[in-house]
Amino acid sequence: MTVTVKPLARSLREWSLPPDIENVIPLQWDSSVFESRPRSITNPVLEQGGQSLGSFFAYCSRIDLDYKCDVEEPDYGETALIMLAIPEGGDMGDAVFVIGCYVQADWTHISQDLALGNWFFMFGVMRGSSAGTIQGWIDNVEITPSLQITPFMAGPHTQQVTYGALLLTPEVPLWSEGSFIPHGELSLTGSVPNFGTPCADIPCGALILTVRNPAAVWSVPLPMMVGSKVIYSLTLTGAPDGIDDLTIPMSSFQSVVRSGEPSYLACVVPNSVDWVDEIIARPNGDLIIKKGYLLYDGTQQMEEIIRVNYETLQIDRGAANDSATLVGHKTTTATAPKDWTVDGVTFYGLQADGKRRIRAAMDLFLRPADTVYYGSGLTDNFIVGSITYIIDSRSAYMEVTEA
Amino acid sequence: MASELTFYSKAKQFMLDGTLDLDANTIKLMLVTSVYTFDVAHEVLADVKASPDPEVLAVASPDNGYTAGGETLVSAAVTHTDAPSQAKFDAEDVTWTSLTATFRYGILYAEGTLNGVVDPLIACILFDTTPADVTISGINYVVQWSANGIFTLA
Repeated sequence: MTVTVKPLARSLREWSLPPDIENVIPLQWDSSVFESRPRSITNPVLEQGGQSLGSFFAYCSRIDLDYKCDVEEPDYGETALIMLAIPEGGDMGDAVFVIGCYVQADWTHISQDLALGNWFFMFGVMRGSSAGTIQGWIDNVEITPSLQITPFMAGPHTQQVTYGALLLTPEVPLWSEGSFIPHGELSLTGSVPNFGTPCADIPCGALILTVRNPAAVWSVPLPMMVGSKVIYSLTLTGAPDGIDDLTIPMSSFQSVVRSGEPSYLACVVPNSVDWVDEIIARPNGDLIIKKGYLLYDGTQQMEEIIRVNYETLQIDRGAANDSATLVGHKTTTATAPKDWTVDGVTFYGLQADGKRRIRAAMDLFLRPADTVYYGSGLTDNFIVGSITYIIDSRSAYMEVTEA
Repeated sequence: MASELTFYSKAKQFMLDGTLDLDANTIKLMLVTSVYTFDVAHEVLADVKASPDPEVLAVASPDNGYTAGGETLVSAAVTHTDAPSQAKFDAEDVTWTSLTATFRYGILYAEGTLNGVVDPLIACILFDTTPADVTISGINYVVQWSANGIFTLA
């Protein structure tokens, strides 16, 4: 239904009902129905159980009006025409009932004196669920005095009560139901959920994913070994000093390699005079020993077996010999222990401290923390604690000691 | 030289949500060059092979010993023990015969579309933690898994 609102007097201002009031049809403000009584209010034809409400504000000390109400089949319990006035700042308890009737066939005049101030006037027509039709009219509304009007909130108030993240908004009751919740009497108390002792540890088994670093090894196919040579190289890295790596010829080296403890390397470089300047230029480099093969086609396949921090240079010069000894240390920890079998075992024994020791051919890939297999049937094994490399022009072997 | 195996983050989810069935899927190890930049957030093989493709090129003639996609892990299996209480994923060592290649990483992944995911990644192996490239010239190259398996869940 479309309702056209026509202000009927300067002292009257239509005030819309709250939009969330359901099932209520606004009253019609209409001057066309009663031409002789231009300030009039009527209501639409109601269905059974229907209600019609309307309101306005006025600054006044008195209201005069005419009204009548027709009920075809009177049901005094539910069908009625009412008009009440609520003062500014008041509530339903302060309401003045100007009209409250069931049947009034003839126009009836009524006057109501009020305390001077802003008043909220509300009209309502209700048709009971079991009764017949009802029509109600209000006419000749006179407000005394007629001044500037300021709308104000009347009726139930709402208040938001917060408790942490809990936001509660009391619901506005339906006008038609006549229920009323006085402001200030709604008390909400938040409750802290209790799941037991706060911050209590819940013991559980740790689920741990552990990766095992693989070892990368290589081998030269037997046909390619024909004509190949075992070679060693010594490299002093230059990157920390901003220059190229230096490959230096060496006549021998000795080294002890451990995991978690300092490893040691000493290399003897012949003809030191040719290399000393280049060595001194790389004071922060690493000394790297590689072992590998020079294959028949000239290609090399090398594997790093020792790396230490270069620390000292000692030059020994005599009438016939000139050599330099480079020494370094470094502590590294094995990250990829593996099972590994060694060849060329020439000796194995037991030390005074109960640890086993073997002497075997130089191996490219055995590292501290590996499990070394040796002996008859290769069933004997122990975990490697240290490897001592001894390489010179006459011999090349390693001694492996149990951890 | 020391190597290092690192899990891709997503692989842990793949194992828990059933995308990966390690002893039923085809698990492969692919060799890639230093063109690849390892990112633990990579999820599928396409992340690794994004342009430029870093995989070692398979050459047929003369055969460089490498097959596109890498080598399949043979006898991949998940076993468990009660003492210690753990599950272990292991497989036979992976061997490339007469390989000629320069590479830096091995990419462990499951081949195929699994649970809607195409070629999910598992882990990345940095073969030389220096870090440095590995250069192999016509010889046999073996990735030897630890005696304790590729990884365990305990």
